[in-house]
Amino acid sequence: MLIPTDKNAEEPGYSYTGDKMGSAATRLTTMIGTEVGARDFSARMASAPALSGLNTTPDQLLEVLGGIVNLYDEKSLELGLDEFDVETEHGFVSKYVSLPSILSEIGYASGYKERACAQILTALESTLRSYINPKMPNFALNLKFLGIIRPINLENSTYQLHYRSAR
Amino acid sequence: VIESPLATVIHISDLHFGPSIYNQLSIFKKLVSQTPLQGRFPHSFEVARALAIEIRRILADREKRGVPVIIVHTGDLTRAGEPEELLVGATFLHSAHLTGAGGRVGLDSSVLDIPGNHDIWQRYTPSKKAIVEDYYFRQPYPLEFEFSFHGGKIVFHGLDSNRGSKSAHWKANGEIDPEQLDTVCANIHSDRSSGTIHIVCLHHPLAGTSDQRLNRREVVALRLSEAGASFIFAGHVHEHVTFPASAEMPSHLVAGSACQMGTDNSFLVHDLFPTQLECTNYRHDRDRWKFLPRSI
Repeated sequence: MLIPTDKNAEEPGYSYTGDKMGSAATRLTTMIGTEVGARDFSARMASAPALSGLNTTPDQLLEVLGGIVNLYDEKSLELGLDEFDVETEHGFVSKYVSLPSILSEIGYASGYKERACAQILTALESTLRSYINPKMPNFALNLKFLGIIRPINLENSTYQLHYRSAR
Repeated sequence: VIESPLATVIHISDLHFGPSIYNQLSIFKKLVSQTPLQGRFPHSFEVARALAIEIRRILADREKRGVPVIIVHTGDLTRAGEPEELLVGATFLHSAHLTGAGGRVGLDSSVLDIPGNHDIWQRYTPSKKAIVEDYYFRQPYPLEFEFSFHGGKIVFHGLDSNRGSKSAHWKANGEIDPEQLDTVCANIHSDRSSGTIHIVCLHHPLAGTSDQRLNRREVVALRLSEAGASFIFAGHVHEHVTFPASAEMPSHLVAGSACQMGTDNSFLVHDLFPTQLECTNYRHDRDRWKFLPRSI
């Protein structure tokens, strides 16, 4: 269960899971960062430097984000799993949702051609990174539209995604 | 233990498919400029994809529990009744689109589909008329479709509520041919003691505040009530509304637009139990990018 920001948390604006009355050590092992919905994510993404010159709109980027969610939802149906863990790179590329699939889906959702789709993919990744607090140990971001994502190695842009069908 | 329903009816409406299954760049420019022509917006490809996923999830759940399912679409499959739009929409309903990314996008099901006012915009265009006629009017109206399940039967009666004059049609007002109504009422009345559930499907609602309404709708509602219709399903207003049964009208359920761009999206799931119909509105939550159920 997510508990609202606590005055004992290390940094303001962040919350954690676990028993509020539990020890500080227990709390720190399960740090959860900001919870973010698809609309906020796409609104922030619209100002990503990678999109300069494309004239994209938040609505368009929301469709792109929705497209990626749809690919994961389809995989969940195919696997018959409501939840699963998967390692990702470039934000949302994984063994379940390949780079060509994501690039195609970005095109279907946005109406743009290939080159612009690569720019949008870069913007997706940089937006995701902008929510991550690298100073916080065991940081995890609750993406309301997909599940919980944690950085594995920010330099290599690798993450661990805990996908959830029930959101 | 969750009790399984006897049968499930999935009710979708107002899909408004454009000429391409994918989103087109110009649509976003229209959205940004906030054009008042919202009724002309086509579908959102990604909401349509999410819709197909959620319906497939429901179909898989009911199949596991041995519950038969039927899907009903109450009109406005297309944005402007163009042949290309009809092809995109019909493929989505009855088959699926191959996209190359992820799974196929569509319901791949047998769907009871009746026309909405947008679907017959080309009824007066000679070069396009034949395609519209071939898809919607190969069978005469009213349509009658029997859906049997263990312990009962539902008969769906499909009405064409787009029989008004050309000018009424452009204002999105509807009209039902009196002969169609007579036939449906007679068929329901003659079967009223059998225990069969009779559901009348049409595009224009029989109640509500929209100005785009059905001519003489109070009379239509009263006649269907007197004949013994169990429920009325409709769409058209792009908003889910429920009207409880009264002396003047059977229970009336209006589905929202399932995937039109630029509007809220939702669809209805009706689970039939021995003594009641349990309705759930699945509303698309844009933050979670998912159709979320809420009991009615």
